[in-house]
Amino acid sequence: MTELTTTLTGYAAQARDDAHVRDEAAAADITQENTFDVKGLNLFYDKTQALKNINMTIKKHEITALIGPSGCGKSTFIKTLNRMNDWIENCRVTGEILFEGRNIYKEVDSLALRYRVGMVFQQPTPFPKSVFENIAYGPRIQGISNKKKLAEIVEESMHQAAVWDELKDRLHESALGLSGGQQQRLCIARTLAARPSVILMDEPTSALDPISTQKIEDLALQLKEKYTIVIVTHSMQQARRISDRTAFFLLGELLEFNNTVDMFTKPANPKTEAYITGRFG
Amino acid sequence: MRDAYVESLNELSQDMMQLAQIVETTIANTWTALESLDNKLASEIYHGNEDINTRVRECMKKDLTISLMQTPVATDWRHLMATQKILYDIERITDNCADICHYIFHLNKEGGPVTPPTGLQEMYQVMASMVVDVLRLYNEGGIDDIDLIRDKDDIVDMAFTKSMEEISEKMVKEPNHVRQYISYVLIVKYIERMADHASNITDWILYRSNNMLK
Repeated sequence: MTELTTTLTGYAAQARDDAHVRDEAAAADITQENTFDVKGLNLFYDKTQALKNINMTIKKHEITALIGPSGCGKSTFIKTLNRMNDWIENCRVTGEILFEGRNIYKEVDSLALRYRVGMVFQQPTPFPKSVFENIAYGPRIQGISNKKKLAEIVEESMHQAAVWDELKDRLHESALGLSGGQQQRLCIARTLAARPSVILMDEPTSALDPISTQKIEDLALQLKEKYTIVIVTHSMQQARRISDRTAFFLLGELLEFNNTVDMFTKPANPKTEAYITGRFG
Repeated sequence: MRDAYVESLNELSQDMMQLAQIVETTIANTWTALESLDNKLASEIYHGNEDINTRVRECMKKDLTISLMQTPVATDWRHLMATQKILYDIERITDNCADICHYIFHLNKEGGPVTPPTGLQEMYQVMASMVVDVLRLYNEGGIDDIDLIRDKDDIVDMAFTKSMEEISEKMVKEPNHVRQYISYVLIVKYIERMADHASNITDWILYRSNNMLK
């Protein structure tokens, strides 16, 4: 077993104990209009402040795009939403992030949080396993061992990730043999198999060709019916095409957060205007 | 910094400024030709309209190319959208100048001149000031005086109604000159349409400034 497997298996029991947390969160899901309420969030890497007093509401079943020049804090911010920054040494967070009304640093276990808030990265990260095993991995860690149940979850997740038709006959082939676009959708299917309510996407199409990018964008638009999506993107066109709201970060500050149509037709902040029209950055 | 993009926007702005000067001159010359029923000047304006249309089409093409190639947003997008719409109105305004010139030929051909409607000069001057002012606003930016320009459209509309009544009376009194008066009916209608196009341009200038469509 790899180190990661050992770690995750160790978490499995705890995860089962946390089931009630997820159930309660799911119950909260029915009543909460906002997925995240971020209040006065500051993040420091040692003495360097990477996020400065971020206040933001991420609404349920919407796609929220985070834009801004490199180093502005958007990737740092997205990682705070499922506490991925916990693993970074000397990283310190102040302020509040409420996930479905509960403070993720005080009231929600980090592992339970990551089941509910899945993440897709810039580079596809398939495990060196079969397509089936990649997707079944999360449910297995969560304690599901029934083969029929696992097969159902795998198929449903692959359908949702729009990859079933292409890969249903290759379930037992290595995921490493798939194209980049297929690997990224496989990773989305793997994320969905863990039954999240939020999908965080950190530049999910930056390594993909236009056709694969289009498939991921179409997929995001379909998935928002069931999930809340937060996406970091350097593509202004992508933000315009798929997001409901757009947040513009600069030097660790959230300079403007508005619905996407308004943001790209009449931004309120001259710096937003300068950035999105390509006059700086 | 997208230098080529900014340069292409500046180039379009220069073309639009040149076009505005040509439109201003054409409108002034059209009045000179109408007032003096100058067939030669009317002919120059009439045949020169093709050149203006070509310039308008070139500006439209540049505007569309920037939109296609640079995927503009925010102020740039509103500016390019507004410019595309304004170019249509500019083309129609100069077409109306050519139309007026066409009826100057008729007025000279059809049995000698008749007395034009008494309010014709004032109506034309108000319309001309609308076009000049609105193109100045487009090129210089801002929305100062835009309500004043829009109010002038009402003055032109009233002058049009009054001119129509006056021409109708003259047609009854001077049945031998009905064909000339029909030419004046069409001329005042063209002037009224030109003011409408100037008013349309104010709508697009407001959209460019405020993101508000009337």
